[in-house]
Amino acid sequence: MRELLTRFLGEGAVPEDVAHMVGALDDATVHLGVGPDGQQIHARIEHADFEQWERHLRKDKDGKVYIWNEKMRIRADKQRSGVGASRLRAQVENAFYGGIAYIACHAARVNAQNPDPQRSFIGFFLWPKYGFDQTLDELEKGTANADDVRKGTPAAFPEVAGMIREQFSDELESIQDLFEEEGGPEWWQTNGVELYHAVFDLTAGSRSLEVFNDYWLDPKKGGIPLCLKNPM
Amino acid sequence: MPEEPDVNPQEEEILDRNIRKRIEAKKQLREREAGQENVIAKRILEALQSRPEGMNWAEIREMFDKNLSDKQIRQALLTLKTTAALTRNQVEKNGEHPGERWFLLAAS
Repeated sequence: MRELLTRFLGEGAVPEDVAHMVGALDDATVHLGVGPDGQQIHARIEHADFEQWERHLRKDKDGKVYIWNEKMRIRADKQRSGVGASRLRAQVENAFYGGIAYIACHAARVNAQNPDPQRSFIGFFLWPKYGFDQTLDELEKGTANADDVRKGTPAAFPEVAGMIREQFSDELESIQDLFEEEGGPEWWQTNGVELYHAVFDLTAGSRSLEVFNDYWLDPKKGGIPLCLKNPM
Repeated sequence: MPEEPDVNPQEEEILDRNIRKRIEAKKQLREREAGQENVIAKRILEALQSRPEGMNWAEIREMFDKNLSDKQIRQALLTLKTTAALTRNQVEKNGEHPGERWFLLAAS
């Protein structure tokens, strides 16, 4: 564990740093462990408001340290209270300050456990609205993690990427680009597919940060911009 | 395991409103770029009118500020080549990059 901590976060890193970067609440209990491949830190967060909450700290093939948002399920009586967005905000702010390159998740449409379309997932069209993105090239050719996360869905969606380029523009490079086109979000809501590696880019000035910051600038969300300096 | 967002109607409304703003901003940017492209195209045409021998890319590029991207200038050249509405003359590319030259053909 210590060796992974040092490899990911540098000399002097302590387990509390991981709890901080994944956006755990102050009164949560965070259990850290090494993933089965020995190459990642798994954080399981226990809190009264959550049924499930798990984050993985990893390094990608380019050497970038990132957080994989494995799962988060808020207890039924606490859902729709804004706690999900506020935890993402804490994660974004703390991970940004901690030098994490990006946050990623599987933004799904198909509910493998319940294929009824009425029970399908909404992450594929809602996560991009928070700033998560995936390139059309990845949609077309598949992401490196596709086989790890897909459950009966195709590894890649070349026909969907082709339709986007044909119906909108050849110049579009990502789902965020599509969402900036007239009719783009509606098209994606109808025709969109699994985003196996939806990425929230934590690079200063990134579009992800811009989109998410705009959300918090809304008066109904308090109008307070993201704190991208030391939030401590 | 996929991660699902937990969102209430008010939050969804904010997200959708922001998406609309981004779409509008993109549209306005494109309109501004199109306006700027027309100005660039007009300057190139004027220059070519006094240069019957044509101009190469370096000469055309030199006419413009460095803040203007190569892409914007090339787009204006492409528009001149394909949009007859701008002039009765046509701009033609002679040869391939980097030896390309652009010149006006006589009005038909």
